[in-house]
Amino acid sequence: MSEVIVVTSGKGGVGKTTTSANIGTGLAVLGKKVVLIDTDIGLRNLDVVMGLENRIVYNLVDVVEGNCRIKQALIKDKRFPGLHLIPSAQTRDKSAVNPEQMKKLTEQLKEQFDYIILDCPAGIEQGFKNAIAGADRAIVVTTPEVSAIRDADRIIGLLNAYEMGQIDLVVNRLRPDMIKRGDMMSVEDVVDILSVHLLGAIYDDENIVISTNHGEPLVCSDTPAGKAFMNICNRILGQDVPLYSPEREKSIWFRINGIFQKL
Amino acid sequence: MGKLWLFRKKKSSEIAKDRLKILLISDRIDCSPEVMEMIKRDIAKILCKYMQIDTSTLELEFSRRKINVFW
Repeated sequence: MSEVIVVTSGKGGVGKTTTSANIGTGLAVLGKKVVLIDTDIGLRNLDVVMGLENRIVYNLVDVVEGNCRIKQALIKDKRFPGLHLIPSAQTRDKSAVNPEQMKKLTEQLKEQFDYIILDCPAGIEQGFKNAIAGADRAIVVTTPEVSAIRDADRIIGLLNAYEMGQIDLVVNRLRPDMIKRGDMMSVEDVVDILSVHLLGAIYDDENIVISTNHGEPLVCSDTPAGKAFMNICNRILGQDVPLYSPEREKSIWFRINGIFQKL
Repeated sequence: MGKLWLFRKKKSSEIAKDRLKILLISDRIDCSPEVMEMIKRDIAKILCKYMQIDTSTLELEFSRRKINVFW
């Protein structure tokens, strides 16, 4: 059965686009047919994060306005079979699309794809309403900072008001050293405050910046963030995966265990 | 290290958590802590009118969908 997932946060710059790109790519690596949709009209970003900016011909607004067929706007990612992107329009604004049109589009895409991932713009205005219109479930991305958590709480309230089927939380940019010192809220603290189901925790990882520089999602790489994103994808597919923590991997027992597993 | 726990400086993450807890309650029901205190006083007044309760132990819990009153 197909699922439409919206990745949202309220606050900007917490990692919505990176999360969308990596979850989409991860699900494709796991053998699913995936389409990523950038719904941030006017400020398109998902295409550069995915490294597909040079292949754009048609965009989301073209599809909605009927200037092209859906198939023409789908950019096939040659590196990952099954992965597609519908880019956003750069020269238009949020009012170019309305929630009904988005609902219709996601319904049509459900016939062809297993997962439709919508990258939501920051804020709670028109762009947010467009993005959540056709979604079956939402992933709320936040960081362990007061401003991001406050906005995430507001978004969760709005998603509840719109009767979103399922709401999951991803806590991004965690720094184990700061948490240990007591200078950063832990995953448990954030979940406790927001009281919402935790889908994944991603530790701050410089590889994210490097992978974005290259335009290649890091989900299948052997990096802390890559592994954390892969775990999230497996959880979306219904598997029970323990929370990834770099601390645990560093512990002597984990390493000894690893050696024995290899033997 | 070696400091008495009484003089221990509160960790910044604890400060953040405490601030958020209060902030989110007023955000969720869209009113300020002062207004909430007034609501609490009014509810206490009404309750006292019909039943015997100890207003000093009255507790109000605001969540997204409901308001719970404990005493």
